Amino acid sequence: MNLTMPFRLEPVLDEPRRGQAAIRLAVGACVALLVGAALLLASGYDPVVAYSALARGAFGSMNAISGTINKAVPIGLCAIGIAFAYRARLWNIGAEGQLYFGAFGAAGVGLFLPPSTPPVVALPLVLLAGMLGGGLWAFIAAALKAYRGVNEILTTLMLNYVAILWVAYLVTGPWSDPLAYSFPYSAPIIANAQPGRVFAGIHPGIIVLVAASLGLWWLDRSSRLGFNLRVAGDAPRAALYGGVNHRTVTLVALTGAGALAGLAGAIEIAGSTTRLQSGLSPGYGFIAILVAWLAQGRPLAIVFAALIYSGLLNGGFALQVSSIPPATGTILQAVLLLCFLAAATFGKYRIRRVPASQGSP
Amino acid sequence: MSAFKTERATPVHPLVRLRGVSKRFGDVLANDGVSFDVPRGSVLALVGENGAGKSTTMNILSGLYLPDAGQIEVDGQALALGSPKASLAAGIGMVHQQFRLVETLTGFENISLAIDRGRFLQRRSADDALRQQMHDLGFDLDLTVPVWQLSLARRQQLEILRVLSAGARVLALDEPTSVLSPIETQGLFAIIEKIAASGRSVVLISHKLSEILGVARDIVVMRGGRVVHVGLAKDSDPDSLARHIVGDRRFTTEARPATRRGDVVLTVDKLSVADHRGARVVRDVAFKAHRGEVVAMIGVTGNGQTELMETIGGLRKPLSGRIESPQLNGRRHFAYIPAQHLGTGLAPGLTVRENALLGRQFLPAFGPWLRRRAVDANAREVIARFGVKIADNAPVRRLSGGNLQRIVLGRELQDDPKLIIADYPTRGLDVASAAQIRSALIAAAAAGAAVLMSSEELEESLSMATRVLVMHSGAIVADLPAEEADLETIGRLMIGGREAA
Repeated sequence: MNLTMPFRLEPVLDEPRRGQAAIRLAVGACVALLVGAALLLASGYDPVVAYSALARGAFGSMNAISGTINKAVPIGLCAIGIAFAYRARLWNIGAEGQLYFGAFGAAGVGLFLPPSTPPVVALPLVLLAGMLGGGLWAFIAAALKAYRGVNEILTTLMLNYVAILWVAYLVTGPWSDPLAYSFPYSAPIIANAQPGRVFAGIHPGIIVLVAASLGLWWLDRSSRLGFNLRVAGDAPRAALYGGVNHRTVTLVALTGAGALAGLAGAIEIAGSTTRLQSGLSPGYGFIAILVAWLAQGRPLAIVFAALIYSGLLNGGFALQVSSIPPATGTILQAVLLLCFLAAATFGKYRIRRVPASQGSP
Repeated sequence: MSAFKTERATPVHPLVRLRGVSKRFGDVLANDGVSFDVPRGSVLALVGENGAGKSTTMNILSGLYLPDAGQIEVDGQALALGSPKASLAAGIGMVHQQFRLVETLTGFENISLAIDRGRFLQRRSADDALRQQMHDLGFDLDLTVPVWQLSLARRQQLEILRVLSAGARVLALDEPTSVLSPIETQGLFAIIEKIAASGRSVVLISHKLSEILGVARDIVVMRGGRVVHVGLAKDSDPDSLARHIVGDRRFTTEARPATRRGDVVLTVDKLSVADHRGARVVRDVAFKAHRGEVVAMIGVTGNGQTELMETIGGLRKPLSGRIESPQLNGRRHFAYIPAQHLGTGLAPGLTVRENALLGRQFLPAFGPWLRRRAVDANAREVIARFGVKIADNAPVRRLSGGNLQRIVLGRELQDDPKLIIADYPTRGLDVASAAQIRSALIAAAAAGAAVLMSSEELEESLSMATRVLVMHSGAIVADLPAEEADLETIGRLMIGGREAA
């Protein structure tokens, strides 16, 4: 107990200036790339080859770019939901399951609408069903939290597996497509509910992502709901004092997060896969947690972080061609987040030398 | 362990002797030359109002605070000051109001933590010496039960036993009866008497004079950081002690607003409230507040005032009873200044501008999209009302106590509320801030609001109030017009005495 510490970590009280924050992030990114390179070298691969393959796979061609953008949509939507719930300091670890349950809802409508339903009706109905599905799935955890105080981290996490297995059951059982040769697929949803690709293989989901991002920004800036969530998240007792009902806040925050993840599921079905299937998401809902944290919950930053992470995911697939393990992409995702968070955290402190006489009392 | 039995040939020393102990916190002289003796084998009661300096003295004795001046002798030996270790070694044991027990461990494991330090393997069950001690001192405790299953009275016994097991010869108890029922209090006093009979000394900090006179032999009264009276309990009566506690103080009544009672704006009827442990802390309280009144809620801290105000303000649900207060769409539509500003009245992580909106965000003027112009104007008015000089986008946690309270008050007094509930509105503030806040409340009452306030300072309450409610043990024991309230009567009522016939 009597160790003298010549150095002390001290919190910096002032908010960082914009330039400082940018420098910190750049340092974090460089460190991440170096750590990733070290790992590649240690496993006997040339980091330059690997990184260039990764970059080519992510942004190297029109095809790569459109794939990256399309994958950024579900990641970004889930991340915006997670950030929304975190305004009230609620942890939604269940975006993946909510995405699946939203996809289930969307497919339920898209498969059984009359094929002659006009597109202006069919597509909104499918998307709405997705939001309802995802919202409902999150509502289970929200209600348990609001009325019974059950920890939402555990419930949202565990409900993931229920939703994923439920979809697996549907596509191998009652909803399986007889024409899919025992692949775990449902039949395609009606053609009028599929928007197709608007531009060079990019589907219109990116518009929804940008709209959701602007929506969260507006909610933060100027809305009673956003204000109430922030108060409840910052000081529950102050919320009670200010007439904010904590149950309503919990229900709205988690259900809203679920609805956004469910919307992501519906967009995946309508825009990309056209059908419900096992393995619909390669972990979008989990990557979204990293993205939300990387962007520190900021709505516009989430869109960019989602593009970077979907690039890493997309480029990871391309690595296989260069016979480098695709896990490199996953490793970089993790190292990047750790380095960014470390950079942001260390940025809040400064190291000060403490004269020896001022050591332990 | 048996040091107290090896009495010296000439036991002339008192067990503990304090001489000229002084301690200053900023501008406040918390202890000013405190001197008294704790005789061997007896119970000494240390009494006084909140802020009289009792806790500071005890914290100095137990080594938590380093005094600026003074000496302490234990058994005639000088005590190394400012060292909890030295105090412990000298046999000074403290039982705080908040128990320091590990709830998931059993009673014995908690004791073992204190006495078996440095042992490699922890002992699992009590040895004969401990059992003998429990028997001798009348402890009624099952040491094999986890602490969380024990009642508060049992936990307190365990805490005392632990301190004694660690070798305490002087046992200091801070407000020990505040968590106990009358019967449990009797049990505690029986134990205390046996502890004293065994040659140890007990220092009892308490507000409840009636109890103290039954168990203590010596009485030390503190006021304003000084010892103002030392005497024997058998020579004391509650009235004279109350005079010592309150002192010979005067207050001016010029500040009182002219009384013109208006309509009733607050009705409290048969209200009972439980604290977070489920203990009833407000019992069957009923009163009304009229416009133009300043009603002072007076009582020693911890007698239910804050819980009562929190219930009126909507922070607590009552067990039973009725409250009628101004409401708008099912929400509070009156001013409420809670006892704690940061974390209750203000959200520490939000900006001043946002905090200026807290509780007002539902008003139709702002709308669901919080109209920017209205929000900005609101923030400007709240900041300007009491002249806070701060940017409205600063996080509120950086502000000083006085400015925090000015923001809360500025916000709550917007729109001229009909009712103002102010729980300790001037606590912890500097003189200028306190005066500013007092005059704002008086002005509001003069303009026709009903003000219900609590305060730690009697003079403050009496100088402002038009009516006085005295609370003791969760009940309103007196409801007097201010003209009939004098310090002595109120001092006696506060500590559980009867009203003078």
